[in-house]
Amino acid sequence: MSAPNSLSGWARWNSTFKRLLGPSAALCAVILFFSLVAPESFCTSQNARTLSAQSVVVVLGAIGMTFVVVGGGIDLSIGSVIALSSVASALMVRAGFSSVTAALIGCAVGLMVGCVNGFLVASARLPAFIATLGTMGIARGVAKWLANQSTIYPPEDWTSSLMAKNPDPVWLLLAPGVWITIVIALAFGFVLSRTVFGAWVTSIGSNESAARLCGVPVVRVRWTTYALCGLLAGVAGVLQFHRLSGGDPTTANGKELEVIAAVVIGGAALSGGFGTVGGSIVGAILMAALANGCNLVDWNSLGRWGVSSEMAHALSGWFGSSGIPNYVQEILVGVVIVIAALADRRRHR
Amino acid sequence: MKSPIFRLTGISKTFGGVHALRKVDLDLAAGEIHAILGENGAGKSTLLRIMAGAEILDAGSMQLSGKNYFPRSPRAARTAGVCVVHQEPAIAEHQTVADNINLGCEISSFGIIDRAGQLRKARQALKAIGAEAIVDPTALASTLTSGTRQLVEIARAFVTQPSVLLLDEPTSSLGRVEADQLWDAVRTMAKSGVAVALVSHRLDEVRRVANRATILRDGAVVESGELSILDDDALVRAMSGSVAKELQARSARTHENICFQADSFEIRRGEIIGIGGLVGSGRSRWLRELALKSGAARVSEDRRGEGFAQSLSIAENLTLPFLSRMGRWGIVLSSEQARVANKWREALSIKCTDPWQRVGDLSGGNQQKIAIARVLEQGTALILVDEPTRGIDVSAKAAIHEILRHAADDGHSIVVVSSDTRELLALCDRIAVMFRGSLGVSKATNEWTEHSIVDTALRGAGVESAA
Repeated sequence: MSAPNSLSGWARWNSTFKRLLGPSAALCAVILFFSLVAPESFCTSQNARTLSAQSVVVVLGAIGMTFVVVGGGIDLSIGSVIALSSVASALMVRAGFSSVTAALIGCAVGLMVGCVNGFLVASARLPAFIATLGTMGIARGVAKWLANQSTIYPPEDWTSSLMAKNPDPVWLLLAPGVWITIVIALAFGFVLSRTVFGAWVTSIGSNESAARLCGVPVVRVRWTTYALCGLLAGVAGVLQFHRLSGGDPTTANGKELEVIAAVVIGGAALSGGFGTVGGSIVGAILMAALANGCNLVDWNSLGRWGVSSEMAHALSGWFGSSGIPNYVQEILVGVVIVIAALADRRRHR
Repeated sequence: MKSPIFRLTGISKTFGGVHALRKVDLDLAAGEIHAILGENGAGKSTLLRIMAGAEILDAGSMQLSGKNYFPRSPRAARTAGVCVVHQEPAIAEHQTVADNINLGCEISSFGIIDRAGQLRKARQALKAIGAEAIVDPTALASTLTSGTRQLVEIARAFVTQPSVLLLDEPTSSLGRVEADQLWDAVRTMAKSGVAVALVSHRLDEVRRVANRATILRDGAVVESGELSILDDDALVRAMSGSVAKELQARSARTHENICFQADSFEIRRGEIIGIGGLVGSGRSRWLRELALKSGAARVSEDRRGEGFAQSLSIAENLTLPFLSRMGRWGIVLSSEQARVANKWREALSIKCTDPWQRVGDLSGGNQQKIAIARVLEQGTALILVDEPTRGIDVSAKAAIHEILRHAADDGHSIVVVSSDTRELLALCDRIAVMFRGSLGVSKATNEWTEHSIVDTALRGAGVESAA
């Protein structure tokens, strides 16, 4: 019996692997490209620390969003929840609570909004798009109200070590927040692919009536996906607060779209039923690498790869001497999303 | 007969004043395959849904293995040991066959799925129903054919070790080989002591697999017993109702000029041809193809889905196919729309407050009048109507028949698809019956009886002429 069983394991792994291949190849291509055009700045350990710290918020959001999307839903409130939880956490620190308590409160606020989303979508049966569009506005408004429309800076003696790019014990290499994210990613990847709950989420997104007829507690499972998504947005908010050293109620504006893009680039089907945590993380890092690399491009360094100096000169004439401007980044991210969607379409034909 | 493990006593159910079931009694014994027969709308599906917990009974009681059984959800029914295999298999396409078979009762420890265990259980189940060579449990469910999907559903039922298995027309979309595979699996389940209830339209199939049959007509049991005692004629007679009712038949007319001809089908000007047959025999598809071939206007059976934009008004819906006629230079004149709507409102006595009332707020009968008005306004010579009076009350039914007769008198040729044999006999000049996708030869209405229509629908035209 053992041979066929391992074969099945292989078949599962193989099909997942195939779907991860595209996004991973794209990520490798982007890293390779920037290593060529920005050798001194992109491919350094310092930049790896920066890049990992930059991508933490979107990665956490994308993990939660993967559960919601695989279950056939969507959560537009993520960006606002990140802002709300970072403001809540900052307020707690200012009020004199310990940073651990403040962090827990921030996460709890995210979980709370997630539960509201879960109630509206799963129990009250509102369309997910509308329900979370509503909570998106509410959470953003509450954040601005609590923060009195300005960024909350905690007392000066308070140090934000959670997102320090050069962590205190040097052997950590990456910021503690990055390690937290890695642990969360591994745990939630396991939950989606290996647990009963994960299988139920997938079955609901794949065929809700089949799941219901087979006795899957559809309402409860759907509820939980939104609650998880909110919780992870709360964690992201706390880390965002530590990264910016302040609780900014206008932070992460439009982040929800970036998160959804990451999930789609990672190969998840927006119609539900398929998606992997790994893929979504690759998607999130891909977008972060694009943004990060574009800023670091040094056209003059192209000379060493045999590009003529006239060409390099023309490129810097077009784009400015250092970096690729913002609008090109936006176009590139858009192109990547469209390509990912097209690849998904082809797979389903 | 062994003592029943599943007993239904006096089951009644009404939907909005219509009796779907009247005091139905049914016994299922362990190991038997029991066919539930009846015409379209006789209440078979409702009965099955009540047993499966998808519908809650109004009166009566159910006993499962001597205990009271009152399921409030499919889940409760499944836990109690009653499993359903649906006409349209409920499969999560993105998951593997093994995951689908174990869906809802996963093998796990501390919430972590034991994939090897699930696979082993899926293999066991597939082997037990004799499908291990046909279905690969590691395959993705999206790669399965419709036949093997049914096998997965049966395997899914098997893993819960049910005491009752309910089958709702499980072979309606299957080929012969696939159907045989399915029946082998069902027989295996029955042999292991499961009581099987089967709703099917196919008499030959029922004869091959079932031991007993219960026949419903208008929601009540009219016949029940061993299939070895009941012959096919008795079954058909019980299903259709033996007494020929007096019908206000349309006087026979002769028509010379042919309006449309395709393959073996032809219709003359001013003629109403009825198409009988079972649900799923391919009538609606045939009608759609005829509409494409002839360019005729068609009234869909599905008013909600295909027929109307429910949120738009009567006038807007009525004029939707010819908006370019409602004004000039692409501008739609609402006065013109209202004029057309009012014209038909009067002609067909459509009950509404004004032409701008939402179609969704009207009764089914009035909606159907608007649908017919729309094809009449379109002005094609040939009109195709699918189930003109389904879900419509009796008086509106008579009104719709009147409208169609008038249209025929005005020179329209009309094809009516209907599951209501009495309607076909009352309304049409000629009738043809569809049997498993092929349309029989049309004959004048006075050559048909209610019995012969049902018989042809169930067994095809060949059987009757041979008998």
